[in-house]
Amino acid sequence: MGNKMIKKMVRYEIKADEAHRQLVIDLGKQKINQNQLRRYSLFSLFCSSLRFTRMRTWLIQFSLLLLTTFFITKAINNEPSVLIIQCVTVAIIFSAIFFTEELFQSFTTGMWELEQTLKYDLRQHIITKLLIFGIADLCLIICLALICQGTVAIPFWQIILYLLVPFNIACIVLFSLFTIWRNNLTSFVFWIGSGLILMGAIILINAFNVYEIRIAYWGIAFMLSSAFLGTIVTEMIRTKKWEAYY
Amino acid sequence: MQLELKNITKSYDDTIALNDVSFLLEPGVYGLLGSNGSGKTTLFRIISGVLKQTTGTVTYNQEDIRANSDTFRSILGFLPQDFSYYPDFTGMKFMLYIAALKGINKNFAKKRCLELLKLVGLEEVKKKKIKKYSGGMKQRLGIAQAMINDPEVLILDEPTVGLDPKERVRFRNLISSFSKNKIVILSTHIVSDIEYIADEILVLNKGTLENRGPSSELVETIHGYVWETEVENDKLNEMLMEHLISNQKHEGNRTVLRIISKDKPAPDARQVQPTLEDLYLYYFREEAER
Repeated sequence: MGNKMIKKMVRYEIKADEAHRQLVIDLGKQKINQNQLRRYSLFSLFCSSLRFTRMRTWLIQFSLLLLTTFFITKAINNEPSVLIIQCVTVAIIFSAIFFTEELFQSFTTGMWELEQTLKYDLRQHIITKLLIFGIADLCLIICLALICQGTVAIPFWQIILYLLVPFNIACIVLFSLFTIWRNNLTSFVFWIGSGLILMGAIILINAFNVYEIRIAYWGIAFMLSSAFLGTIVTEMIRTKKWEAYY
Repeated sequence: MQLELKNITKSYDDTIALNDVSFLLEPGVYGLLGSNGSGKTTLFRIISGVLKQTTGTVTYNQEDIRANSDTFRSILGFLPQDFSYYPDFTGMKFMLYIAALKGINKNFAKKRCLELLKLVGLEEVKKKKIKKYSGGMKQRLGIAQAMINDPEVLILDEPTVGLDPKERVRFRNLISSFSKNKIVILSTHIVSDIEYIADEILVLNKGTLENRGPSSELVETIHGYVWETEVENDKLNEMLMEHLISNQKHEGNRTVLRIISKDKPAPDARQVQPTLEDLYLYYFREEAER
């Protein structure tokens, strides 16, 4: 307490009887509660989003990393580079699907209506989760690209491009579909939809040798898909879009 | 502390869910009475910011709640009609999760959640997963989560669904002790719940606010419209077809009927004191006749 505050408080008379003492304590408690409710911290939202992300989701991501690492370093390390990159791509799409499932959990469980009315509303909550899962996926991609670098004769940044482009495309498809179906989304629809997306991706990767395409085109594809993904995410989190069509 | 709705209209394509609804609420408990599809849930969703009205404004202490949604949400407690939950969460974890999203400090939240779980009788099952809870337990959890932030405005959409009589009594007591200097709005189909708790009742019919006032005053508006008469069992069907019956009691080969009618339904019919249930049927006769 500064001198200024002490001078200010000297003028206030506080009666020393029990009733007044209790009144001051009650008012103080009330003020603390009010201040706490008015406190607005995106960092604490970030921490609580991390805290309440299901352990299962992190275990799945960690298992994906371990399994893929084992696969590309021990099981298929002598296979052609294309197969190794394809294997990592599938793992990354899987990772995106599991994170998307966690991201859309509010909708698949029907919690969105309640979450929309909380202090940190659904939009802020979804943005925070997107940030957490985005960072986690980026770390996963970088880790797998670094591990891949040891088994294939392709530069690191090129591997990153080979992984980020399909990742972006998978996210675009997942987010677009689930933004459309959001209000009547169930876990069943989610997993059927995701299964179809994954199957489509595997068929496409195997049907065309996309890795023969010049790297400049991969760069362009990365920039375009990133811009498109950014637009979709912006569209997805616009407040008016959360309103249901009852 | 004032929550005011001015000319609220909500329409979906050709359907008007709410039509020019206006009212002012001050601290107290308000019961929203309406049949299915009368617009209760739409109204609650608009107040809680889940839905946007087509026209009109909702203000809290003269400030538009949409323009100040962050501030309003921090003093709001809401229980949606179809209360959902994360099935893998335990009761306590769910409460802590809601507390975190309400911006409540971790230590304070733990204390508050325990206190509320105790109040709604879920203290012993706080570590049990919600998917293993009974319907009444889930509903009680829903009520508890709405009160975590000690809200100034508490909106409860059908809070007594799935509660047994004992739990309903506990709920009524909880709301009564909580409602001091707060605005509590609740809707329920169980008319007696509203009758006991609400200081004032709002009657919403087909999206329009038809009437409002204390239960005793509203019931007085149908004074002289409620009758009791005894009929032979063979004439029962005829009476059921002709009149709006609020109750029937069989006594041997005769049946005592409680009829809501502006005119005397039978020569021997006698007027009786109306109840809130009679009032409900009077306003929502179409649903009763369905």
